[in-house]
Amino acid sequence: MKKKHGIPNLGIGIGLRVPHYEEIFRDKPDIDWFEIISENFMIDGGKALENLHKILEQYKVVQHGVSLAIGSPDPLDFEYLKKLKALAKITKTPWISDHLCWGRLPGAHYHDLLPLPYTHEVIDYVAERARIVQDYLELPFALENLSSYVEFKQDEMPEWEFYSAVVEKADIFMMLDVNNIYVSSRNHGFNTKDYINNIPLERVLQIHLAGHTDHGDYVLDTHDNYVKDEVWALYAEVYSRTGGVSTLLEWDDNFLSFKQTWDEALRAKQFQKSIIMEMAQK
Amino acid sequence: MKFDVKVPLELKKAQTWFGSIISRPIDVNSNMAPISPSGRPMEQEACDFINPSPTLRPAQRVQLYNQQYWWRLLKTMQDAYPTVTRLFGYYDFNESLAVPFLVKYCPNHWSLNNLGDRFPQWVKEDYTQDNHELVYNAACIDCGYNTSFFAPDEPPLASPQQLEEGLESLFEVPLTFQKHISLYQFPYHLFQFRDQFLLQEPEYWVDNDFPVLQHAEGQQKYSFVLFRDALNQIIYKQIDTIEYDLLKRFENGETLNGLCEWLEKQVTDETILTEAMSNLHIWLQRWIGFCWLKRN
Repeated sequence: MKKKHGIPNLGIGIGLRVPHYEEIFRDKPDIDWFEIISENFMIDGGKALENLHKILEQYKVVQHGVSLAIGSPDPLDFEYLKKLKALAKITKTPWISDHLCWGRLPGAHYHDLLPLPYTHEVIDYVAERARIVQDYLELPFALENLSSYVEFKQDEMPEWEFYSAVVEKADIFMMLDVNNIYVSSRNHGFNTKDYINNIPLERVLQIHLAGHTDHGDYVLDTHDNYVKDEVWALYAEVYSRTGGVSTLLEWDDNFLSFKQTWDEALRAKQFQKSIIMEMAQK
Repeated sequence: MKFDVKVPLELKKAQTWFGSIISRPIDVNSNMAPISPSGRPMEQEACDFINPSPTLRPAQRVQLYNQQYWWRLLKTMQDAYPTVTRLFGYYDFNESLAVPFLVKYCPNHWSLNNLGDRFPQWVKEDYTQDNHELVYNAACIDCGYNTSFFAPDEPPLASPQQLEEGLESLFEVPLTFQKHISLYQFPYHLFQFRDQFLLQEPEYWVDNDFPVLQHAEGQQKYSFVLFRDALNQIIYKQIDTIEYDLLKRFENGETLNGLCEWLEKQVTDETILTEAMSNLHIWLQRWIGFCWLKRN
């Protein structure tokens, strides 16, 4: 597959989280890269920033945001974007990502990744804002698909069609979370193959992996467990079809040691190797 | 900078409804309120906006977001206010303090770091139980730790060379604290109590006696300064009452000359004045050496 971008494959990374700092600073583990939650470091100073500078001395860092809330009905927050861009100058992140969601109303921030109605009007609205964000940041900008638990009455198309239309119209990129595809497929009753067969995989610049919690009637995206086999299977398929892109394991609760977390992330390498060997044999 | 991409009206309508529903408090069993703000049953109203899933009704699906909203905010409050959380235990902290606080001051900033900034103020104004004073003081020091963690360091007031040459050049310069400094004065040693308290999880203290809260003798008070040191560790230091009074002068800006004049007017006891004046030089060296002060 021809990629839409010349963005490098950084290899395998994990999300930088506070419980791992001690091990990272002490052992300086040999890992490909870290992803940071941008908002945790969009601050004026203090201990958090000092920790980030120590990480940057040793590792490549990529920024991933949770608070842009691009589909919200209020104007884009350029004070926020200014801080995001300033942080990017410090981290030298090769791209910036956030979520295809909304999360704000005038006077309220819900601190959640809330799903949008999948309509043509909303595609136009979000794509225009995403284009502005990418232009402003002067870096490749990617939106991530959500784990979602509701579908709106207004929906005019399935999620993959909406997602594809937004990124193509805005000419931005996909941060594809394969765990989120699986979680949403269970919650909405769609086939994951329909999803990955109908999105422009050449626009994927990074893949997210994570664990989830299965409650039977629904599945929650909890990032507190090992990646499930069904998600690894989906990863293997997507990874090979993207031609190889940066892969990241998110783990945000019920933390394991850094080494155990890294071992779980390295399982991706096994899939990558077997895919490369399969391709070579063909 | 302002761009105005026109918001689709149907989108705004759905979002306004969704936001109004998920931010309402959940009950003790984590259930969504059964009646919507419009007065209709939620089971009915949710069907106007949300499709059912193969396994869940529309209202059940919305409830997942209602729960996530509250669980995330309550966890953030518990993390930001560990001493107060231990005074109550998770359940009572949520019910008596965090939920009413978050209903009054719903989050409106993109950073969760700011979520509890107004919590001490809320305790002061809205929490009226008998243990009000202790809860307020605990909230203030928890807040101080958070502020200190995120506060930037401004350039030091004086270089090591200037310190050696003397501080005369600084005497007319208005000074104030670095943002990571805060001062406290309590009739008990709340910091020591906090240290002991934080050794155990909140639920432990629901069934066990609290650590001893050591009270000062008579009408005396313990004075403290909380700050971030050169290694970026947040630490507290018990200080002399006069040092506290002097440092307090810098809260709104003060010159060193002004400080000396104020000291002479305040302290009528000659012995205390002599002692304070002789200590002032040492304190000044410490305040400046620890980078507690900056230009106002």
